[in-house]
Amino acid sequence: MASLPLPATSEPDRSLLERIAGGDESALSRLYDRHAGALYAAAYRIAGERSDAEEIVLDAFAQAWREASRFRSERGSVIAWLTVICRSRALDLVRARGRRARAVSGASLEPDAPAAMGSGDASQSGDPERLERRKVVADALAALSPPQREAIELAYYEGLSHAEIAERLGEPLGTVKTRVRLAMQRLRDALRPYYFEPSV
Amino acid sequence: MSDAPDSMRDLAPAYALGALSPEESRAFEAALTGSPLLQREVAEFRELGALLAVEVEQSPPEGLKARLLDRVRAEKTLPLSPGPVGEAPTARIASRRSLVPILALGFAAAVLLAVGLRLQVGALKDTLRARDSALAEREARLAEREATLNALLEPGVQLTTLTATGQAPPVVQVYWDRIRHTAILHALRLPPAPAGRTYQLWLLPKQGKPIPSRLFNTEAAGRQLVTGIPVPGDQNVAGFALTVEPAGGSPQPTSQPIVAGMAPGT
Repeated sequence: MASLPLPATSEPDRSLLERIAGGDESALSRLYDRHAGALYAAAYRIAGERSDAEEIVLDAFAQAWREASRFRSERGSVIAWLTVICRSRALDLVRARGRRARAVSGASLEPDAPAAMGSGDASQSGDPERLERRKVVADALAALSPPQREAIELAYYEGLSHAEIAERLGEPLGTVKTRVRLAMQRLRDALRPYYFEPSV
Repeated sequence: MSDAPDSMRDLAPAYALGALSPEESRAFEAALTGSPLLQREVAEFRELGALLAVEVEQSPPEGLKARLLDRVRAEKTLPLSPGPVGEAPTARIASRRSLVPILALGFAAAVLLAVGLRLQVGALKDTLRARDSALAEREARLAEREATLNALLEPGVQLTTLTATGQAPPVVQVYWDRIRHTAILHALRLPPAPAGRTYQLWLLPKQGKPIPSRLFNTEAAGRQLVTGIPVPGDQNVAGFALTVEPAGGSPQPTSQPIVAGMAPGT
């Protein structure tokens, strides 16, 4: 089923985390090399400030360093865990600063800020495996209807609840709930073979 | 595959995104604890969340990894070595025979000191983190209150006070912003709903059945503020009512309203 397994020479994330639990800095360094790009971009897109995104990524990896021995692989992959940490830290920060409304259009972001969902340029990464993964994610997002994509973007990058999305878009709550659910299910069906940990 | 109702399974994607209301989140988490199926669903949608970030991937700034490694090195336990202890001034006045116990004592003291310092630093860091987190939470609450206040002051907002029909004297006010199709509910002296039950707000159209709206409960003091209640503009809403329903809410009221009221001018 998994068409994108890690190359045979790649050490799985959970094995890196075991070594991190033993205080191995080189394992932390490899985990960083593998995932910092996506985590940094997500944190930057949510928080809107480079310095905030840097701190969020540092905090997340430092937390992984401290809590590696407590990680439970049966609850999900290492990258899913790191993504949850980064998203919640970034969203907490934005909420605390009351800047939630700022990121709507992305117009105030710096020139090289990540683009909106579904319009990503997959040609920038050099690693063929990552390149293909980015392309399938971009394609799956592009295959959603624009309202579905917008709803997912508001939830993922702005941390809006169903009710807040409905309010923002001026649409009935039930419509928004259905839209978010169907969009997530479509993305899951399309992207399941490309998960970092396909066994989950 | 039937250990969780479909209604709960349907909430899994939004739960993984963090898009549920606090009431829905609580209900979902209660179901999640005993449901391997829901746990698997949430894990799977979290994998999807990790994958979505790949699409916007960009190189982190130069030097960020070095900062990370510096930070984790600083958090490591202080290295302990008996070497420097042996050069302690006490060595000069001690005879060779008594040097070993003194060195051992010195080493033990250094270990205790280092461990003590480490614990102290750790505790201080934990305290700081807890304070940061509490501060962020308070700031978020303040920002939310300010946003609520601003919403109340918007032009076009109407106040409907729902009066008590029973002997308890609760006050329930609905601030309805007809322009933005949203409302804020303020409850006062409304005792928390009994265990396993919840308060449910209903939108009352001019004609037809009540439209189910938000679920909430009050705090022990009988207060609650529910914000961001959608009031669709195309449903001819004329008033509001509040009932007590089973946890999870009902599609139609199953009890008499505790309070009800019509909006002015409808």
